[in-house]
Amino acid sequence: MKKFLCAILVVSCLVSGAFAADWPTKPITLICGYGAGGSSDLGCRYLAAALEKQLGVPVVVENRPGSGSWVAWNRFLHNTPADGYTFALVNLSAIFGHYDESNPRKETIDDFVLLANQAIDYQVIAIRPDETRFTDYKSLLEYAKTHELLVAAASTGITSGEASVAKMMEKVHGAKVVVVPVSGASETNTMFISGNVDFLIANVGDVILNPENYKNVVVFAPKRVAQLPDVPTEVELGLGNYLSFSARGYAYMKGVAPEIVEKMTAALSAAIVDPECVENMNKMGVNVELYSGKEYSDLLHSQLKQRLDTWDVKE
Amino acid sequence: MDMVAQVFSMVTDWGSIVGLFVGVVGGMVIGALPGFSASMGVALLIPVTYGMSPVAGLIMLVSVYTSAIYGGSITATLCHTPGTPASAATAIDGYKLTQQGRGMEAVGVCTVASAIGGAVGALALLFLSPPLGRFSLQFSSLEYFMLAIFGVTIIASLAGESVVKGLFSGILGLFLGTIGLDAITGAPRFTFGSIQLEDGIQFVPALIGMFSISQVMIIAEDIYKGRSTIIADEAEMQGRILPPWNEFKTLLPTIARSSVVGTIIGIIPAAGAGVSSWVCYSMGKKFSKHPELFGNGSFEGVASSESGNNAATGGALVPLITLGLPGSAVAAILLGGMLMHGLVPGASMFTEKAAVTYTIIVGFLLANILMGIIGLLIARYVAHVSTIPMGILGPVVVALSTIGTYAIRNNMFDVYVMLGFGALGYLLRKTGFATAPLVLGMVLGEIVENNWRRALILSRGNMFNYFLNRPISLVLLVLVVLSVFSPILMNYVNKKSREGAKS
Repeated sequence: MKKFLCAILVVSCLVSGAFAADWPTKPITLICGYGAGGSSDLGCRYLAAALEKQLGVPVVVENRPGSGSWVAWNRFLHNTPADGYTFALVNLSAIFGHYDESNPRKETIDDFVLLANQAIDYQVIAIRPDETRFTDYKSLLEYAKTHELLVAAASTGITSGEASVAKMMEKVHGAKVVVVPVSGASETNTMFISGNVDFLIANVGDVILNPENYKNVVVFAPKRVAQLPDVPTEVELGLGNYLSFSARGYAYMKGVAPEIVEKMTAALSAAIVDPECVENMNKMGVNVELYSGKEYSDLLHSQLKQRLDTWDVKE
Repeated sequence: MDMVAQVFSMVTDWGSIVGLFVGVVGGMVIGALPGFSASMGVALLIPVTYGMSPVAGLIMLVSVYTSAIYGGSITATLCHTPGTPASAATAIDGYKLTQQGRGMEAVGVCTVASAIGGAVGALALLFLSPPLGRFSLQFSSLEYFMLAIFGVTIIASLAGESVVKGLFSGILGLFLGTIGLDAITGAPRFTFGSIQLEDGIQFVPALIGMFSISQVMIIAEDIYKGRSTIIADEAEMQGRILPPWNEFKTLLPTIARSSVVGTIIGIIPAAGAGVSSWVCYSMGKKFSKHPELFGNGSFEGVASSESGNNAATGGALVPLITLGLPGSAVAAILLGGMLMHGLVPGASMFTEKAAVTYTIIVGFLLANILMGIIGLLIARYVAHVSTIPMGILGPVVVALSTIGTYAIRNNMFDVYVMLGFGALGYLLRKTGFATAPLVLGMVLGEIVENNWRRALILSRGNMFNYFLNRPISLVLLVLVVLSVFSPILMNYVNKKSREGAKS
């Protein structure tokens, strides 16, 4: 009996080793925590098509929307076999959820095995083209020291990129900024265009589609972004060195065989820069920037540290 | 003139015509299935448009949108199973008419009302888009709040036999709407630690439970009592597709009013087809010469909610196309579809890309007309659903509802919500509590609360002045007051005039 069990153990080890070597032999599932038809979903679908070319097996996108992708991540991290046949879309919410004051998540960035980053969208501040109270970033900050300004943000607290920029303006520059929480990027945009709030904190992807509506005054990127060559960075203006962006990439859960992680990272990296995939992403206003493995992890950790400092939260 | 010729040649292109047909028929089927709503139909078809020209692809997508909103009314009328949330109001009177053997006529009225409403919305989109787009920017949190409060005042008119019970349903709906993450602070409320409840109770599963599952339970009871079909025998079913002309012409003012109101509500970002159908239904009742028929099988009721929800689809496209600001879930998905085809919605849609834009809008108009024609052609056949033995109909409805509910988010929890609300709906109906106020309360509760709190922040601590500076809010306030006090006022006036007549 003992021998028999041993034999099973050995065979199963061999088989699983063989699994890792043969991987992939069956369709792969990409978990997208956002609804079908949205920008995140379309990004996943373009990537899936490119990844199929790399891996030679079908890549199926499965939408499991709910609670800002946490329904999907919960199931993915705790209830999905780590056999390398399921991976997930991750963005900054996955890292900041743990530090959300009003609704903290158990999971941190370390629960994910980060594979590759597909898109980075830096944040900008825009004012209305006919704005007279201030004309650039510097005068906006000056004006806000004495006048309370309103800005809309998708959600509140550390999980929100907009609210974090507002917090930074308050903390670093002494500006008085009041955040109006709304439900998403299109609503922050509506609030700004309709004149209900004083300025806009948005992603580059949001302001390049209808440029006549925005006068962009600063971009929170390390250097000027290609889509907005005339907009200075905060560093250039000599007003600070705040960086803020949203990032979209892909991850495994812990426990996937290292060989598979390596193969997947390589395949994803090739798929992300696939010309057709890049073209489709650019059409949606999304800026493709590939980071993989350690680089990707460093990128997210830098943003984590920045925001934790801004909100005075301990890691 | 050049433009007209260009638009004509693009719209009569084979690709456009195929897109139009596929969109209308596909939308109708998707809309009729419970759980598969308009937004899902559009999302499902976006990948299909990859290989099509932008014009044909977009015509197909907008056709699916309006046609799905219409398709939902067919099953709402015939089996009390609203295919989309926008058709919930239609189920009330439509199903009563089916029980009276007039299902075919009810489907006919739905079809004509939807087509006219949709066409009015499309015409507004065609001729008035830029000014209407600017108008939509006049609405913000305070206006959304006032509009939703106006909706809340409607609850009493949906109460059915007992106003007190109706109010209870409405308040229960408002309460259920508070479940989930607080939209302003992000704190979980009534979630009991469940991540599944953080987004609140999903509306579509709840609605399917309240209407379809509870209906199947009532069907099961009827079968036990010895009834086998919705109408006693086939001979009872009347063979007309539309009511007699003298009856039908009394519906025209209702359809016209609901079409205009529906278009305006559609333009307002927070509202959409669902809210529009309820508001138009309630207005239909207030203006009707026979308000007592509402809830007991009124063609006016069916006509008002159906023209209202389809008109709202045209309205909802206005802010998307003119400003690039999607006001609803469907519009957000359409935005993705447009970007994919290299069309960036916004001001340029009416300048450099005007020909393409007008072609899509004309396609949308044609879709509404085509939908009406196809609807009338098939009314005779679909109406036979009401003669299908209940023993077959019930299980089919449960199966479709379950699949549809699961498919929305690939989430089994939603199916449990559907079943729970099925049981709740059954209990409420058995004990004389109307379900419509509960549904409306759930829709409006969230809009009311979140927007009031946003408005408080936007008012910078001085709500009174803020209010006075927003004329639309003041108009809506007057409407709310009128809506609340008009019955009292009417009673008083009637009494006075009777007294006057006596003396």
